[in-house]
Amino acid sequence: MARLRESSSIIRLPGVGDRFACADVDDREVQVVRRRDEHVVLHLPDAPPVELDASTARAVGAFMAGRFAIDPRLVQRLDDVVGGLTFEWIRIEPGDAVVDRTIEALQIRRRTGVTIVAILRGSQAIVTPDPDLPLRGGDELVVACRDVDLDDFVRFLTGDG
Amino acid sequence: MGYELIVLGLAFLLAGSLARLGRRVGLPTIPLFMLAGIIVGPNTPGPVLFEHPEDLELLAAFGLIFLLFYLGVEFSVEDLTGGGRKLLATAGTYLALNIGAGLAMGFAFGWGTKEAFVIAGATGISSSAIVTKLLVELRRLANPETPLILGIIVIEDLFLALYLAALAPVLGEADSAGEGALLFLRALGFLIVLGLLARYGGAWIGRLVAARDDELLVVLFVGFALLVAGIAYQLGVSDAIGAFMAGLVLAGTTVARRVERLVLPLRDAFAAIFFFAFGLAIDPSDIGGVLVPAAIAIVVSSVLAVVAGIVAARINGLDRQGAANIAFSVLARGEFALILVSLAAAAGLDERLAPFVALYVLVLAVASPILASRSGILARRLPERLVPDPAPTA
Repeated sequence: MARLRESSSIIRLPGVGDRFACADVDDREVQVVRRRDEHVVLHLPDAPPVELDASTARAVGAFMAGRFAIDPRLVQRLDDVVGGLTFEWIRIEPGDAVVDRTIEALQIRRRTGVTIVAILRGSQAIVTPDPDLPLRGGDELVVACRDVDLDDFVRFLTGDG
Repeated sequence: MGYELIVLGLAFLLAGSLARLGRRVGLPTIPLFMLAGIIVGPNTPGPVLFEHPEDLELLAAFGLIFLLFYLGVEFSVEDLTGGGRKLLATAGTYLALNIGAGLAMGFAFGWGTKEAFVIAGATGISSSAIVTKLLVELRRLANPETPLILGIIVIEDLFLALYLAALAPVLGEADSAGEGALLFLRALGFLIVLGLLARYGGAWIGRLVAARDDELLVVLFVGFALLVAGIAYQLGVSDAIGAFMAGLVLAGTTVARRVERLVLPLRDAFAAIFFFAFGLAIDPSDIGGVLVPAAIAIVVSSVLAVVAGIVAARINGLDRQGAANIAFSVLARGEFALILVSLAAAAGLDERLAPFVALYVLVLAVASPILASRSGILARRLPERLVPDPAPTA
Protein backbone atom coordinates (compact mmCIF):
# COMPACT_ATOMS: atom_id res chain seq x y z
CA MET A 1 0.00 0.00 0.00
CA ALA A 2 3.01 2.32 -0.02
CA ARG A 3 2.20 5.22 -2.26
CA LEU A 4 4.44 7.91 -3.52
CA ARG A 5 3.30 11.33 -2.43
CA GLU A 6 4.35 14.49 -4.22
CA SER A 7 4.18 16.29 -0.92
CA SER A 8 2.27 16.22 2.31
CA SER A 9 -1.46 16.81 2.37
CA ILE A 10 -4.18 17.71 4.84
CA ILE A 11 -7.63 16.14 4.63
CA ARG A 12 -10.62 17.19 6.68
CA LEU A 13 -12.28 14.55 8.81
CA PRO A 14 -15.73 16.11 9.22
CA GLY A 15 -16.91 16.12 12.82
CA VAL A 16 -13.60 14.70 14.05
CA GLY A 17 -10.74 16.98 12.99
CA ASP A 18 -8.04 17.03 10.32
CA ARG A 19 -5.61 14.46 9.00
CA PHE A 20 -2.09 15.21 7.84
CA ALA A 21 -0.45 12.64 5.60
CA CYS A 22 3.15 12.46 4.52
CA ALA A 23 5.90 9.90 3.87
CA ASP A 24 8.90 9.05 5.99
CA VAL A 25 12.41 8.89 4.49
CA ASP A 26 11.76 5.27 3.47
CA ASP A 27 8.57 6.44 1.72
CA ARG A 28 6.27 4.73 4.15
CA GLU A 29 3.00 6.41 5.03
CA VAL A 30 2.89 8.58 8.15
CA GLN A 31 -0.43 10.07 9.25
CA VAL A 32 -1.16 12.53 12.00
CA VAL A 33 -4.76 13.09 13.08
CA ARG A 34 -5.57 16.27 14.96
CA ARG A 35 -8.94 15.82 16.62
CA ARG A 36 -11.34 18.61 17.52
CA ASP A 37 -10.68 18.00 21.20
CA GLU A 38 -7.05 18.85 20.28
CA HIS A 39 -5.80 15.35 21.01
CA VAL A 40 -3.34 14.20 18.38
CA VAL A 41 -3.12 10.60 17.16
CA LEU A 42 0.08 9.52 15.41
CA HIS A 43 -0.22 6.67 12.92
CA LEU A 44 3.32 5.51 12.18
CA PRO A 45 4.31 2.57 9.98
CA ASP A 46 4.16 -0.87 11.64
CA ALA A 47 3.16 0.52 15.03
CA PRO A 48 -0.09 0.87 16.93
CA PRO A 49 -1.52 4.43 16.95
CA VAL A 50 -0.17 6.79 19.62
CA GLU A 51 -2.52 9.31 21.23
CA LEU A 52 -1.22 12.56 22.75
CA ASP A 53 -3.27 14.97 24.86
CA ALA A 54 -3.56 18.60 23.79
CA SER A 55 -0.69 20.13 25.76
CA THR A 56 1.73 17.29 25.01
CA ALA A 57 0.87 17.51 21.32
CA ARG A 58 1.56 21.25 21.31
CA ALA A 59 4.88 20.79 23.07
CA VAL A 60 5.92 18.04 20.62
CA GLY A 61 4.80 20.16 17.69
CA ALA A 62 6.80 23.18 18.83
CA PHE A 63 9.84 21.01 19.48
CA MET A 64 9.61 19.41 16.03
CA ALA A 65 9.28 22.82 14.41
CA GLY A 66 12.56 23.70 16.10
CA ARG A 67 11.37 27.18 16.97
CA PHE A 68 11.11 26.92 20.70
CA ALA A 69 10.56 23.98 22.95
CA ILE A 70 7.81 24.74 25.42
CA ASP A 71 8.25 23.09 28.76
CA PRO A 72 4.71 22.08 29.78
CA ARG A 73 5.57 22.77 33.41
CA LEU A 74 6.49 26.30 32.44
CA VAL A 75 3.18 26.78 30.67
CA GLN A 76 1.45 25.42 33.75
CA ARG A 77 3.31 27.90 35.96
CA LEU A 78 2.57 30.80 33.64
CA ASP A 79 -1.03 29.69 33.74
CA ASP A 80 -1.03 29.82 37.52
CA VAL A 81 0.62 33.23 37.58
CA VAL A 82 -1.12 35.05 34.75
CA GLY A 83 -4.29 33.00 34.43
CA GLY A 84 -5.23 31.63 31.01
CA LEU A 85 -2.16 32.90 29.16
CA THR A 86 -1.76 31.16 25.82
CA PHE A 87 0.43 31.31 22.77
CA GLU A 88 -1.40 31.05 19.49
CA TRP A 89 -0.49 30.95 15.82
CA ILE A 90 -2.85 33.09 13.79
CA ARG A 91 -2.75 33.49 10.02
CA ILE A 92 -3.61 36.77 8.34
CA GLU A 93 -5.59 36.30 5.15
CA PRO A 94 -5.03 38.61 2.15
CA GLY A 95 -8.49 40.18 2.51
CA ASP A 96 -8.27 40.94 6.23
CA ALA A 97 -8.85 44.48 7.44
CA VAL A 98 -5.40 44.83 8.98
CA VAL A 99 -3.36 44.05 5.85
CA ASP A 100 -0.83 46.80 4.95
CA ARG A 101 -1.29 48.60 8.28
CA THR A 102 1.40 48.84 10.93
CA ILE A 103 1.26 47.36 14.40
CA GLU A 104 1.63 50.87 15.79
CA ALA A 105 -1.21 52.37 13.76
CA LEU A 106 -3.46 49.46 14.68
CA GLN A 107 -2.73 49.88 18.42
CA ILE A 108 -3.06 46.12 18.74
CA ARG A 109 -1.91 45.70 22.32
CA ARG A 110 -3.97 48.57 23.68
CA ARG A 111 -7.14 47.67 21.80
CA THR A 112 -7.09 43.86 22.05
CA GLY A 113 -4.74 42.98 24.92
CA VAL A 114 -2.74 40.76 22.55
CA THR A 115 1.03 40.95 22.15
CA ILE A 116 2.66 39.93 18.87
CA VAL A 117 5.72 37.89 19.79
CA ALA A 118 6.83 37.05 16.28
CA ILE A 119 5.74 37.16 12.66
CA LEU A 120 6.43 34.16 10.43
CA ARG A 121 6.65 35.51 6.89
CA GLY A 122 7.57 32.95 4.26
CA SER A 123 10.77 31.29 5.45
CA GLN A 124 11.65 34.30 7.60
CA ALA A 125 10.85 34.70 11.30
CA ILE A 126 10.62 38.27 12.57
CA VAL A 127 11.01 38.05 16.34
CA THR A 128 9.58 40.97 18.39
CA PRO A 129 8.64 42.94 15.27
CA ASP A 130 9.09 46.72 15.09
CA PRO A 131 5.87 48.67 15.67
CA ASP A 132 6.19 50.40 12.30
CA LEU A 133 6.21 47.09 10.38
CA PRO A 134 3.15 46.71 8.14
CA LEU A 135 1.30 43.36 8.31
CA ARG A 136 0.85 41.36 5.14
CA GLY A 137 -1.63 38.74 3.90
CA GLY A 138 -0.18 35.27 4.55
CA ASP A 139 1.72 36.38 7.66
CA GLU A 140 1.52 33.98 10.58
CA LEU A 141 1.45 35.80 13.88
CA VAL A 142 2.72 34.15 17.03
CA VAL A 143 0.83 35.97 19.74
CA ALA A 144 0.67 35.86 23.50
CA CYS A 145 -2.69 36.62 25.02
CA ARG A 146 -5.26 35.60 27.54
CA ASP A 147 -7.73 32.98 26.30
CA VAL A 148 -10.66 35.35 26.50
CA ASP A 149 -9.02 38.01 24.32
CA LEU A 150 -8.45 35.72 21.39
CA ASP A 151 -11.91 35.86 19.81
CA ASP A 152 -11.84 39.64 19.96
CA PHE A 153 -8.43 39.68 18.36
CA VAL A 154 -9.51 37.45 15.48
CA ARG A 155 -12.54 39.66 14.90
CA PHE A 156 -10.26 42.70 14.99
CA LEU A 157 -7.98 41.17 12.35
CA THR A 158 -10.74 40.24 9.95
CA GLY A 159 -12.67 43.45 10.48
CA ASP A 160 -15.86 41.74 11.72
CA GLY A 161 -17.72 43.72 14.32
CA MET B 1 -40.78 17.96 44.21
CA GLY B 2 -38.45 15.80 46.34
CA TYR B 3 -39.95 12.64 44.91
CA GLU B 4 -39.52 13.82 41.31
CA LEU B 5 -35.89 14.70 41.93
CA ILE B 6 -35.16 11.30 43.47
CA VAL B 7 -36.77 9.53 40.54
CA LEU B 8 -34.95 11.69 38.02
CA GLY B 9 -31.63 11.12 39.75
CA LEU B 10 -32.24 7.37 39.67
CA ALA B 11 -33.10 7.61 35.98
CA PHE B 12 -29.79 9.30 35.14
CA LEU B 13 -27.81 6.87 37.31
CA LEU B 14 -29.52 3.83 35.88
CA ALA B 15 -29.14 4.95 32.27
CA GLY B 16 -25.52 5.91 32.87
CA SER B 17 -24.62 2.68 34.68
CA LEU B 18 -26.18 0.48 32.04
CA ALA B 19 -24.41 2.40 29.27
CA ARG B 20 -21.16 2.12 31.19
CA LEU B 21 -21.49 -1.67 31.32
CA GLY B 22 -22.14 -1.61 27.59
CA ARG B 23 -19.07 0.51 26.90
CA ARG B 24 -16.89 -2.19 28.45
CA VAL B 25 -17.87 -4.50 25.60
CA GLY B 26 -17.80 -1.76 22.99
CA LEU B 27 -21.53 -1.01 22.75
CA PRO B 28 -22.76 2.51 21.99
CA THR B 29 -24.71 4.41 24.64
CA ILE B 30 -27.90 5.32 22.79
CA PRO B 31 -29.56 1.86 22.71
CA LEU B 32 -28.65 1.27 26.35
CA PHE B 33 -30.17 4.57 27.53
CA MET B 34 -33.32 3.50 25.73
CA LEU B 35 -33.15 0.00 27.20
CA ALA B 36 -32.86 1.46 30.72
CA GLY B 37 -36.10 3.35 30.03
CA ILE B 38 -37.86 0.22 28.82
CA ILE B 39 -36.78 -1.74 31.92
CA VAL B 40 -38.09 0.73 34.52
CA GLY B 41 -41.06 1.88 32.45
CA PRO B 42 -44.66 1.21 33.43
CA ASN B 43 -45.01 -1.53 30.81
CA THR B 44 -42.50 -4.05 32.13
CA PRO B 45 -42.63 -6.17 35.29
CA GLY B 46 -40.36 -5.11 38.12
CA PRO B 47 -39.70 -1.65 39.48
CA VAL B 48 -41.65 1.20 37.91
CA LEU B 49 -39.90 4.55 38.26
CA PHE B 50 -42.22 6.52 36.04
CA GLU B 51 -45.95 5.93 35.96
CA HIS B 52 -46.31 8.77 33.49
CA PRO B 53 -43.53 9.01 30.91
CA GLU B 54 -44.97 12.36 29.79
CA ASP B 55 -43.68 13.91 33.03
CA LEU B 56 -40.27 13.90 31.38
CA GLU B 57 -41.60 15.69 28.31
CA LEU B 58 -39.84 19.01 28.86
CA LEU B 59 -36.45 17.49 29.75
CA ALA B 60 -36.67 15.13 26.78
CA ALA B 61 -37.49 18.10 24.54
CA PHE B 62 -34.29 19.76 25.78
CA GLY B 63 -32.40 16.64 24.68
CA LEU B 64 -33.90 16.78 21.21
CA ILE B 65 -33.18 20.52 20.93
CA PHE B 66 -29.54 20.24 22.00
CA LEU B 67 -28.92 17.22 19.73
CA LEU B 68 -30.06 19.19 16.70
CA PHE B 69 -28.53 22.47 17.89
CA TYR B 70 -25.12 20.78 18.14
CA LEU B 71 -25.54 19.38 14.65
CA GLY B 72 -26.15 22.91 13.38
CA VAL B 73 -23.23 24.49 15.25
CA GLU B 74 -20.68 21.96 14.03
CA PHE B 75 -21.95 22.04 10.46
CA SER B 76 -19.50 23.52 7.98
CA VAL B 77 -19.84 24.04 4.26
CA GLU B 78 -16.23 22.97 3.71
CA ASP B 79 -17.04 19.56 5.18
CA LEU B 80 -19.71 19.26 2.52
CA THR B 81 -17.73 20.51 -0.47
CA GLY B 82 -14.32 19.21 0.65
CA GLY B 83 -15.06 15.66 -0.52
CA GLY B 84 -15.82 16.70 -4.07
CA ARG B 85 -18.08 14.99 -6.58
CA LYS B 86 -17.15 11.46 -5.61
CA LEU B 87 -18.40 12.06 -2.08
CA LEU B 88 -21.66 13.54 -3.37
CA ALA B 89 -22.12 10.58 -5.72
CA THR B 90 -21.42 8.10 -2.91
CA ALA B 91 -23.66 9.76 -0.35
CA GLY B 92 -26.36 10.30 -2.97
CA THR B 93 -26.31 6.60 -3.84
CA TYR B 94 -26.48 5.64 -0.19
CA LEU B 95 -29.41 7.94 0.56
CA ALA B 96 -31.31 7.09 -2.63
CA LEU B 97 -31.02 3.35 -1.87
CA ASN B 98 -32.00 3.63 1.78
CA ILE B 99 -34.72 6.26 1.57
CA GLY B 100 -36.15 4.53 -1.50
CA ALA B 101 -36.22 1.16 0.21
CA GLY B 102 -37.61 2.78 3.37
CA LEU B 103 -40.50 4.28 1.43
CA ALA B 104 -41.16 0.96 -0.31
CA MET B 105 -41.21 -0.84 3.05
CA GLY B 106 -43.34 1.88 4.61
CA PHE B 107 -46.00 1.58 1.94
CA ALA B 108 -45.76 -2.24 1.95
CA PHE B 109 -46.50 -2.35 5.68
CA GLY B 110 -49.69 -0.42 4.94
CA TRP B 111 -49.69 1.69 8.09
CA GLY B 112 -50.43 4.87 6.17
CA THR B 113 -48.76 7.45 3.95
CA LYS B 114 -47.44 9.71 6.72
CA GLU B 115 -46.15 6.63 8.52
CA ALA B 116 -44.33 5.53 5.36
CA PHE B 117 -42.46 8.85 5.22
CA VAL B 118 -41.43 8.48 8.86
CA ILE B 119 -40.22 4.90 8.26
CA ALA B 120 -38.22 6.05 5.23
CA GLY B 121 -36.41 8.69 7.29
CA ALA B 122 -35.89 6.46 10.30
CA THR B 123 -34.45 3.55 8.32
CA GLY B 124 -32.59 5.71 5.81
CA ILE B 125 -30.39 7.93 7.98
CA SER B 126 -27.36 6.65 9.92
CA SER B 127 -26.49 7.74 13.44
CA SER B 128 -23.85 10.50 13.39
CA ALA B 129 -23.03 10.01 17.04
CA ILE B 130 -22.48 6.25 16.86
CA VAL B 131 -20.55 6.26 13.57
CA THR B 132 -18.17 9.05 14.61
CA LYS B 133 -17.45 7.48 17.98
CA LEU B 134 -16.99 4.08 16.36
CA LEU B 135 -14.30 5.33 13.97
CA VAL B 136 -12.42 7.09 16.77
CA GLU B 137 -12.58 4.07 19.07
CA LEU B 138 -11.61 1.53 16.43
CA ARG B 139 -8.68 3.88 15.65
CA ARG B 140 -9.60 4.00 12.01
CA LEU B 141 -9.06 7.73 11.55
CA ALA B 142 -6.00 7.05 9.37
CA ASN B 143 -7.83 4.61 7.10
CA PRO B 144 -8.37 5.57 3.46
CA GLU B 145 -12.16 5.13 3.67
CA THR B 146 -12.62 7.21 6.84
CA PRO B 147 -12.93 10.69 5.27
CA LEU B 148 -15.53 9.19 2.95
CA ILE B 149 -17.57 7.67 5.79
CA LEU B 150 -17.50 10.94 7.74
CA GLY B 151 -18.42 12.83 4.57
CA ILE B 152 -21.42 10.56 4.01
CA ILE B 153 -22.48 11.23 7.61
CA VAL B 154 -22.28 15.02 7.12
CA ILE B 155 -24.45 14.80 4.02
CA GLU B 156 -26.90 12.58 5.88
CA ASP B 157 -27.05 15.18 8.69
CA LEU B 158 -27.94 17.90 6.20
CA PHE B 159 -30.42 15.60 4.53
CA LEU B 160 -32.03 14.92 7.91
CA ALA B 161 -32.49 18.66 8.48
CA LEU B 162 -34.13 19.07 5.08
CA TYR B 163 -36.22 15.95 5.64
CA LEU B 164 -37.41 17.23 9.02
CA ALA B 165 -38.34 20.54 7.42
CA ALA B 166 -40.30 18.82 4.67
CA LEU B 167 -41.90 16.34 7.05
CA ALA B 168 -43.22 18.87 9.59
CA PRO B 169 -46.04 20.19 7.38
CA VAL B 170 -46.84 16.60 6.32
CA LEU B 171 -47.24 15.55 9.94
CA GLY B 172 -49.16 18.73 10.79
CA GLU B 173 -52.88 18.66 11.27
CA ALA B 174 -53.90 20.03 7.93
CA ASP B 175 -57.56 19.32 7.16
CA SER B 176 -57.37 20.30 3.52
CA ALA B 177 -54.82 20.59 0.78
CA GLY B 178 -55.08 24.39 0.98
CA GLU B 179 -54.35 24.41 4.67
CA GLY B 180 -51.46 22.02 4.12
CA ALA B 181 -50.01 24.33 1.49
CA LEU B 182 -50.35 27.28 3.88
CA LEU B 183 -48.53 25.36 6.63
CA PHE B 184 -45.82 24.45 4.16
CA LEU B 185 -45.35 28.05 2.99
CA ARG B 186 -45.22 29.28 6.58
CA ALA B 187 -42.57 26.69 7.40
CA LEU B 188 -40.63 27.56 4.26
CA GLY B 189 -40.78 31.29 5.06
CA PHE B 190 -39.45 30.68 8.56
CA LEU B 191 -36.59 28.56 7.25
CA ILE B 192 -35.70 31.14 4.61
CA VAL B 193 -35.58 33.90 7.26
CA LEU B 194 -33.31 31.77 9.47
CA GLY B 195 -31.23 30.74 6.46
CA LEU B 196 -30.67 34.42 5.56
CA LEU B 197 -29.85 35.14 9.19
CA ALA B 198 -27.28 32.33 9.14
CA ARG B 199 -25.77 33.68 5.92
CA TYR B 200 -25.76 37.42 6.58
CA GLY B 201 -26.66 37.99 10.23
CA GLY B 202 -23.65 36.31 11.87
CA ALA B 203 -22.15 39.57 13.16
CA TRP B 204 -25.50 40.81 14.49
CA ILE B 205 -26.40 37.58 16.29
CA GLY B 206 -22.79 37.33 17.42
CA ARG B 207 -23.21 40.63 19.24
CA LEU B 208 -26.34 39.31 20.96
CA VAL B 209 -24.85 36.02 22.13
CA ALA B 210 -21.06 36.40 22.19
CA ALA B 211 -19.90 36.94 25.75
CA ARG B 212 -16.30 36.85 26.82
CA ASP B 213 -16.79 34.48 29.69
CA ASP B 214 -18.16 31.00 29.28
CA GLU B 215 -20.88 31.34 31.90
CA LEU B 216 -22.66 34.18 30.13
CA LEU B 217 -22.12 32.59 26.73
CA VAL B 218 -23.85 29.37 27.88
CA VAL B 219 -26.82 31.26 29.29
CA LEU B 220 -27.19 33.34 26.13
CA PHE B 221 -26.87 30.56 23.56
CA VAL B 222 -29.22 28.28 25.49
CA GLY B 223 -31.73 31.13 25.44
CA PHE B 224 -31.28 31.64 21.70
CA ALA B 225 -31.61 27.90 20.93
CA LEU B 226 -34.77 27.48 23.05
CA LEU B 227 -36.37 30.64 21.67
CA VAL B 228 -35.84 29.69 18.02
CA ALA B 229 -36.94 26.09 18.69
CA GLY B 230 -40.08 27.36 20.43
CA ILE B 231 -40.99 29.75 17.63
CA ALA B 232 -40.44 26.96 15.11
CA TYR B 233 -42.74 24.69 17.10
CA GLN B 234 -45.47 27.34 17.23
CA LEU B 235 -45.23 27.81 13.47
CA GLY B 236 -45.63 24.07 12.91
CA VAL B 237 -42.05 23.59 11.67
CA SER B 238 -41.04 21.38 14.64
CA ASP B 239 -38.68 22.41 17.43
CA ALA B 240 -36.02 20.02 16.10
CA ILE B 241 -35.50 21.93 12.87
CA GLY B 242 -35.69 25.26 14.74
CA ALA B 243 -32.88 24.12 17.00
CA PHE B 244 -30.81 22.98 14.00
CA MET B 245 -31.23 26.37 12.34
CA ALA B 246 -30.35 28.18 15.58
CA GLY B 247 -27.12 26.18 15.65
CA LEU B 248 -26.47 26.97 12.00
CA VAL B 249 -26.87 30.69 12.71
CA LEU B 250 -24.35 30.52 15.56
CA ALA B 251 -21.97 28.46 13.39
CA GLY B 252 -21.40 31.67 11.42
CA THR B 253 -20.34 33.72 14.45
CA THR B 254 -16.93 34.16 16.06
CA VAL B 255 -17.99 32.13 19.11
CA ALA B 256 -18.93 29.02 17.09
CA ARG B 257 -16.05 26.84 18.36
CA ARG B 258 -16.68 27.84 21.97
CA VAL B 259 -20.42 27.17 21.70
CA GLU B 260 -19.66 23.80 20.15
CA ARG B 261 -17.47 22.89 23.10
CA LEU B 262 -19.81 24.25 25.77
CA VAL B 263 -23.02 22.68 24.46
CA LEU B 264 -21.58 19.16 24.56
CA PRO B 265 -22.19 18.42 28.27
CA LEU B 266 -25.71 19.86 27.99
CA ARG B 267 -26.39 17.74 24.93
CA ASP B 268 -25.04 14.59 26.56
CA ALA B 269 -27.11 14.96 29.74
CA PHE B 270 -30.41 15.89 28.15
CA ALA B 271 -30.07 13.57 25.15
CA ALA B 272 -29.68 10.67 27.61
CA ILE B 273 -33.04 11.65 29.11
CA PHE B 274 -34.55 11.91 25.63
CA PHE B 275 -33.51 8.31 24.83
CA PHE B 276 -34.51 7.14 28.29
CA ALA B 277 -37.97 8.76 27.99
CA PHE B 278 -38.37 7.16 24.56
CA GLY B 279 -37.72 3.79 26.17
CA LEU B 280 -40.19 4.46 29.00
CA ALA B 281 -43.04 4.79 26.54
CA ILE B 282 -42.24 1.45 24.86
CA ASP B 283 -44.43 -1.48 25.82
CA PRO B 284 -42.45 -4.67 25.12
CA SER B 285 -45.68 -6.58 24.55
CA ASP B 286 -46.22 -4.39 21.46
CA ILE B 287 -42.96 -5.59 20.01
CA GLY B 288 -44.44 -8.99 19.13
CA GLY B 289 -46.78 -7.27 16.68
CA VAL B 290 -43.95 -5.52 14.85
CA LEU B 291 -41.44 -8.36 14.90
CA VAL B 292 -41.83 -9.23 11.22
CA PRO B 293 -41.68 -5.66 9.83
CA ALA B 294 -38.72 -4.85 12.06
CA ALA B 295 -36.89 -8.02 10.98
CA ILE B 296 -37.54 -7.14 7.33
CA ALA B 297 -36.28 -3.60 7.85
CA ILE B 298 -33.13 -4.82 9.63
CA VAL B 299 -32.34 -7.28 6.82
CA VAL B 300 -33.04 -4.70 4.09
CA SER B 301 -30.88 -2.04 5.77
CA SER B 302 -28.03 -4.50 6.28
CA VAL B 303 -28.09 -5.69 2.67
CA LEU B 304 -28.27 -2.11 1.39
CA ALA B 305 -25.35 -1.11 3.62
CA VAL B 306 -23.23 -3.81 1.99
CA VAL B 307 -24.42 -2.75 -1.48
CA ALA B 308 -23.59 0.88 -0.64
CA GLY B 309 -20.20 -0.18 0.69
CA ILE B 310 -19.42 -1.97 -2.58
CA VAL B 311 -20.61 0.96 -4.71
CA ALA B 312 -18.64 3.42 -2.55
CA ALA B 313 -15.48 1.33 -2.85
CA ARG B 314 -15.84 1.18 -6.63
CA ILE B 315 -16.48 4.92 -7.02
CA ASN B 316 -13.57 5.84 -4.77
CA GLY B 317 -11.07 3.14 -5.70
CA LEU B 318 -10.97 1.43 -2.29
CA ASP B 319 -10.26 -2.21 -1.57
CA ARG B 320 -12.57 -4.86 -0.11
CA GLN B 321 -11.62 -4.02 3.45
CA GLY B 322 -12.64 -0.42 2.76
CA ALA B 323 -15.98 -1.58 1.35
CA ALA B 324 -16.67 -3.70 4.44
CA ASN B 325 -15.67 -0.92 6.82
CA ILE B 326 -17.99 1.53 5.09
CA ALA B 327 -20.87 -0.95 5.05
CA PHE B 328 -20.83 -1.77 8.75
CA SER B 329 -20.09 1.76 9.95
CA VAL B 330 -22.94 3.47 8.12
CA LEU B 331 -25.28 0.66 9.22
CA ALA B 332 -25.54 2.20 12.72
CA ARG B 333 -28.92 3.72 13.47
CA GLY B 334 -29.68 5.77 16.55
CA GLU B 335 -30.67 9.29 17.50
CA PHE B 336 -32.21 10.40 14.20
CA ALA B 337 -34.51 7.39 13.90
CA LEU B 338 -35.71 8.01 17.45
CA ILE B 339 -36.15 11.75 16.83
CA LEU B 340 -38.28 11.12 13.75
CA VAL B 341 -40.47 8.65 15.57
CA SER B 342 -40.90 10.87 18.61
CA LEU B 343 -42.15 13.59 16.23
CA ALA B 344 -44.50 11.03 14.68
CA ALA B 345 -45.78 10.04 18.13
CA ALA B 346 -46.41 13.70 18.98
CA ALA B 347 -48.40 14.00 15.75
CA GLY B 348 -50.55 11.00 16.74
CA LEU B 349 -49.42 8.62 14.01
CA ASP B 350 -49.77 4.82 14.09
CA GLU B 351 -48.74 3.46 17.50
CA ARG B 352 -46.81 0.59 15.95
CA LEU B 353 -44.11 3.03 14.77
CA ALA B 354 -42.51 3.45 18.21
CA PRO B 355 -41.98 -0.25 19.05
CA PHE B 356 -40.98 -0.92 15.43
CA VAL B 357 -38.24 1.70 15.45
CA ALA B 358 -37.20 0.87 19.04
CA LEU B 359 -36.48 -2.72 18.04
CA TYR B 360 -34.87 -1.67 14.75
CA VAL B 361 -32.53 0.81 16.47
CA LEU B 362 -31.75 -1.56 19.33
CA VAL B 363 -30.59 -4.27 16.92
CA LEU B 364 -28.68 -2.10 14.44
CA ALA B 365 -27.05 0.19 17.03
CA VAL B 366 -25.66 -2.91 18.74
CA ALA B 367 -24.91 -4.91 15.59
CA SER B 368 -23.09 -2.16 13.70
CA PRO B 369 -20.15 -1.69 16.13
CA ILE B 370 -19.79 -5.47 16.58
CA LEU B 371 -19.77 -6.09 12.83
CA ALA B 372 -17.56 -3.07 12.11
CA SER B 373 -14.89 -4.30 14.49
CA ARG B 374 -14.90 -7.64 12.65
CA SER B 375 -15.31 -6.27 9.14
CA GLY B 376 -12.44 -8.42 7.88
CA ILE B 377 -14.81 -11.38 7.86
CA LEU B 378 -17.00 -9.71 5.26
CA ALA B 379 -14.06 -8.25 3.36
CA ARG B 380 -12.64 -11.74 2.75
CA ARG B 381 -15.98 -12.99 1.46
CA LEU B 382 -16.68 -10.18 -0.98
CA PRO B 383 -16.01 -11.51 -4.48
CA GLU B 384 -13.16 -9.68 -6.13
CA ARG B 385 -15.36 -9.33 -9.20
CA LEU B 386 -17.53 -6.86 -7.21
CA VAL B 387 -14.71 -4.90 -5.64
CA PRO B 388 -11.59 -5.08 -7.80
CA ASP B 389 -8.34 -4.41 -5.97
CA PRO B 390 -7.46 -0.79 -6.66
CA ALA B 391 -4.58 -0.31 -9.06
CA PRO B 392 -1.51 0.99 -7.24
CA THR B 393 -1.25 4.70 -7.79
CA ALA B 394 2.51 4.81 -7.61
